Amino acid sequence: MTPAQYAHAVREALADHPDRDELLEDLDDHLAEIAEESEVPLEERLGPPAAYAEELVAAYGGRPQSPRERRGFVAPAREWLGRQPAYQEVAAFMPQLRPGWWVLRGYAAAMGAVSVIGPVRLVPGSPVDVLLVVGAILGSIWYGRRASGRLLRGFTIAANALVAIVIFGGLATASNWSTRDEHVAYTMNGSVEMEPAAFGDTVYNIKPYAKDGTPLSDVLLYDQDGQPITTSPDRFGYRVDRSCGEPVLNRFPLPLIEEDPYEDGGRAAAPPTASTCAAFRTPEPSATASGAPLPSVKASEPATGAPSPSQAPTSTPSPSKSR
Amino acid sequence: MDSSQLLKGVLDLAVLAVLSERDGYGYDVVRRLRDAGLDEVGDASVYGTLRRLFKAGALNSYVVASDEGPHRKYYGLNEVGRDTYAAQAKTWTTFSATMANLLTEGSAR
Repeated sequence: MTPAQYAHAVREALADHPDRDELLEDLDDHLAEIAEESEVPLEERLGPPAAYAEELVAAYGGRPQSPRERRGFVAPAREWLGRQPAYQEVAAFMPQLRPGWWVLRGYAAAMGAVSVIGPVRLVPGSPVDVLLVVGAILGSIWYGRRASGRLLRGFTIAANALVAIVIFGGLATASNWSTRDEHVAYTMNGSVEMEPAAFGDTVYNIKPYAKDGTPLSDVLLYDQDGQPITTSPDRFGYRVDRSCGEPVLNRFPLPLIEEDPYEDGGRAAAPPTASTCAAFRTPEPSATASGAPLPSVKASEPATGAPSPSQAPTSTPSPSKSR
Repeated sequence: MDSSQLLKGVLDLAVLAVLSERDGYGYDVVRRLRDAGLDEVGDASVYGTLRRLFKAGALNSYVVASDEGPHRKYYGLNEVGRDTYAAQAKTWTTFSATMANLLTEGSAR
C-alpha cells in the first residue's frame, strides 16, 4: 500500500469526523516520510488504516469526556466566520457601537424597571423616571468602561440578553401603540380622544340617560384632567353632522351621519331642525381653559332633536365599515 | 501496569518537551520520543496530538520544502505552548515526586 493509498484509507475511516480535513491536512507528507525510512510496508509498521485512524482520533480529541471535543464544532465555525470579509468588517465596526449600546441598555434597563413597578411606559413620565434613567445610563457606561473579569462575563452576557429582551418588548409595545394611534386625532383645542380600548374599542357615540330613563342631550364629557372626551365616529363609518356648523365634539350624543361608501355626500340621520341647530350653536363652555369639568351643563334638559333609544341606528356598525 | 496507558496521560507533555528542545516535523517527533525511551509511542497518537496542540493554539507550524523527499511541516512552541509546557511540567514533576515518595515509603515497610 502506497502512502497515498494508506492516507486515502484513513480518510475513508474518518469520513464522519467533523475536523477530518483539518486533522489530516499533512497526513500524506507524514506517511511519505515514514515510507521513505524503510522498505517494510506501511500496514506492517503502522497497522491497518482503520486502527491508525482510531488511534489518531483518540489522540486528537476522541476522548468522550474531554471538553476539547466540543471545539470540534464550535472552533471551525468560528474560524470560518473569522475569515469572512463581511464579518471582519462588522467585527471591526462593533467597538464603535459599544458606547451607544451602553446608553441604550441603561435607558432600557431603567424603563424596564419602572415599567415593572408602575404602568408600562417607554419614555420617562416623571422626574423620578428621568433621574433613574440618567443614573442607569451613567451606571451602564461606567460598567461598560471598566474591564470586567472572567467571573462577571457570564453575568454581563445574561444581563445584556435580558436588556435586549426588554428592548424588543418595548419596541413591540411601541409598534402596538403606533397602530392604535393611527386614528387618534390630537385636535387643536387640546381635547383628548377616548382611549378606544377603554370602551372595548366599539364606542363612537355616547347616549346618556337620566336615572328615570329620560334621554339626556348636550351632555358635555370631560376626563379627570378637565380635557374634553371625544370619540372617533369616522372609524365606524359615521361622520359628525356639520350642517349646523361646527358642533362641540365632546357634547353627547353627537349628531352623526352614516357615511355611505358609495356616495360622496352621505345622508343625514335626521334633517337638522332649527332647534337642533340652535342647540349645536350653543357656545362652547370655557372648561378647557379653566381646567374644571362642568358636570351639570344642560344635563336635565332634553333637546327636541335628541335621539331616543328607538332611534338608534338599525345597522350595527362593524369594523369592515371603517375606512 | 500497561505503560501505554500511562503514556496516554503524558503524551502532550512529552511532545511539548520534545518541541521545546527544537522544532520538529511529525515523524521527527515520533523518532525523538522513541530515542528518548518511549518505544511504545504510536505514530498516529503523536500525529493526532500534534494536530490537536496546533489547533488549540499552542504550536506554530511552517512547511519546509525538500528537493528529494516530501514537504515537511515543522511544529514549534509559541507563547501559549511554552506556558502550557511549563504548567504541565510543573504538574508532572509534583505528581511524579509524590508517586516516587509513595513508592519509597511502600518499599521501606
